[in-house]
Amino acid sequence: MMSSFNEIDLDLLKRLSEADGIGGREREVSRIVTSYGRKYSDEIQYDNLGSVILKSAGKSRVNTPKIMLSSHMDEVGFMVRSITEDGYVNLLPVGGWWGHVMPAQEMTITTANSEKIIGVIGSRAPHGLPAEIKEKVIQPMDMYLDLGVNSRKSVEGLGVSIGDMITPNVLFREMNDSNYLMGKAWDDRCCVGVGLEVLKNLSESDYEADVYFAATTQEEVGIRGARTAVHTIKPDVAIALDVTTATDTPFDKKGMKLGDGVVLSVLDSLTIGNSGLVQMMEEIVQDLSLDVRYDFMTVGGTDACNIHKMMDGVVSMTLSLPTRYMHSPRLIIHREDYIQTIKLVTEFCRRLNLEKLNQLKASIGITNFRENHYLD
Amino acid sequence: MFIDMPLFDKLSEIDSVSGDEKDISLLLKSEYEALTDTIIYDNLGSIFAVKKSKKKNAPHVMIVGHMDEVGFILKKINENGTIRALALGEVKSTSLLGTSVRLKTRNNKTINGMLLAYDKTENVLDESKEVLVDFGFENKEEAIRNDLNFGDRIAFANQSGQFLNNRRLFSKNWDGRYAPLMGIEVLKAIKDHEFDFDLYIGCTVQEQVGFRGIQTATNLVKPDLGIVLDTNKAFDYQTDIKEKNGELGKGVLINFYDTTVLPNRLLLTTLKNICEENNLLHQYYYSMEGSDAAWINKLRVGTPTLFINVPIRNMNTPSSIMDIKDYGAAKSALLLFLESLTAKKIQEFKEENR
Repeated sequence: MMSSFNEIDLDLLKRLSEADGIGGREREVSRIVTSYGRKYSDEIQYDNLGSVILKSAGKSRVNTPKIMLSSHMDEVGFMVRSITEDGYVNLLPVGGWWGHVMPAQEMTITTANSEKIIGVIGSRAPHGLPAEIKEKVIQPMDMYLDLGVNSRKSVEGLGVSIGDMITPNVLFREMNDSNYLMGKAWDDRCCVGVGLEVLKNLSESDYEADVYFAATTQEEVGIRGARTAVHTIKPDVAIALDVTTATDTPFDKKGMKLGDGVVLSVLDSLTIGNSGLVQMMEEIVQDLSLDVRYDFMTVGGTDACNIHKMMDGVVSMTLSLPTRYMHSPRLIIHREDYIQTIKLVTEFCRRLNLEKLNQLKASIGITNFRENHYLD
Repeated sequence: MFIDMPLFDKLSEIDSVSGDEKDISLLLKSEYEALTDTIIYDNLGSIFAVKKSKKKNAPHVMIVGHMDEVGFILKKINENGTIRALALGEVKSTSLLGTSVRLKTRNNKTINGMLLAYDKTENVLDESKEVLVDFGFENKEEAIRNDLNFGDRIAFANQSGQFLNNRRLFSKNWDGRYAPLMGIEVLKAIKDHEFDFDLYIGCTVQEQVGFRGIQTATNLVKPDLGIVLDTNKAFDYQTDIKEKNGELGKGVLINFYDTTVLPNRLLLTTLKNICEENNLLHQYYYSMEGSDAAWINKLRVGTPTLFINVPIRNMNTPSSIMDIKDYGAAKSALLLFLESLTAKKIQEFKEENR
């Protein structure tokens, strides 16, 4: 059995984490994707919302199944909502934020000219604050960025304008046990890394299917880019790669630990994984001696939720990577989960062929493929 | 009797919790094969029998309802051998303690179980929409030895049949069996009929979890006219209702409103006129829930859509109740509607709101 894999490239993860890109402004990320992925792909396409699709052609030239791997490039962040006379910047959240994780955090404004302007989100001194104020979470819409200037004119002089993107100013860091990796935007940049590492592995192997890695846009604002990417690819099978909430901290000891291996998402609130696909992943887990957990995320969804319902349907599931502190400026993932997920996805791409695809369809009762083609 | 009872029995016996509709799909396939020469699928598992017109470029008429039922999915095996399972669909928390359920393993072995309460005050469905199931195992190892796996579906055990007076039928999954049953019966009735439209009769998957299969099915069929076969909740016996809405035994529902779709008005009038002219029992109905019809209606360039529904009691519980008279009226109305339908009329339905 074919099962050799490259070492992971930690510098790639660092670059992906530190790139700034909220929904609709994913260009810094997609440029990393194309520059890194170019030598491992046969063709690069874009959809019209900015998703970038890297194709790695399989050796089979007839009835080649198409696999779509999907990771979203956008992170949760903010836009400049307004600028006050005295030089503060009001925030407009883009994606889900909780007031608890915001005050006193450094943020970066990316200007129209791609200048980086650093500020800090204002906070209150606790001295003498009444209990009812101390106990209340400040709403994201009530917070502001302090750029350390004293007028609107100075802010504008920095090149800042309404609508500019704001993202956490956080550097990638290997933690004290270097398997623990801290950075911003792991949702979903670590999975963008998975996709690129898979393409790298595939470039050195023989496989039948055509593999399309889609780095998609605008997931955090309503799973939009996955829709347009599906129509660009028209896949037979799709694997959405996304993060799930680790529950192994003193806040929530529920058992989803960092470092315990791959996570098969049986369902989330918007998608039920194809059962044949889940079982095929289980076989690979066994054959490669990977560790496995199962995820039933009843809040939220992934790119898969729109992919599987597009056109006349796509055989789909989600593979998850657990992260701590999702939708905050600093998230922590584990190197082992990353490595194992890359192995699982690589091996899946190596194994999928027409016969396997038909088995996946048969698992939900599709036993006859006459006239079963999506035509525009 | 308006209902093919052996077929009803066969359909009721099958489990089809959302995402695991394979068994009912295979039964439908075997029934459709005798009645048509073309069967198509979307890639989530929705299935259609196709009856092509002899005319070229004929419009597409889609008659469809869902074949999935509410149930549970295995998400944890506890040390003491009990199972935690997540509800799929709107399972009613008031009907669950002591309910018989069953699980079919990957090796096709059926295991019977019962729902337990998770606390001393005897609640069954918890805040995360999970239940505790007792399959009689003494510990985790025994459950694993018996081939229980994450993702296995757990369905209400079958309890179906007729009441003493033969006028009403009970089944664990009327919502999810009405469309498969009606679809086959209609196909049989029109077997030798020629239409000037292509007819797609079939069933969709994953309705209970958010109207998913209908989206892919609509993209597959590309209908010019959609007819949805579904059940609605009867409000005709409860002590706290202000007005009756959906009475058992009062006929097919002329469903003029639900929260996700506004049925085409000319279609509604046509259905009502057919019922009046042919002395078919019928009643107006409005629904405060959503339905598959919404997606047929609004996907692609839009499709005029009509319900041919019947009321049931105890929806999404281990035993729901339907009146045969309502089923009979629905079936007659649908057949008469199809006989009167032409390509020209389909165009008129499209132009109704211009």
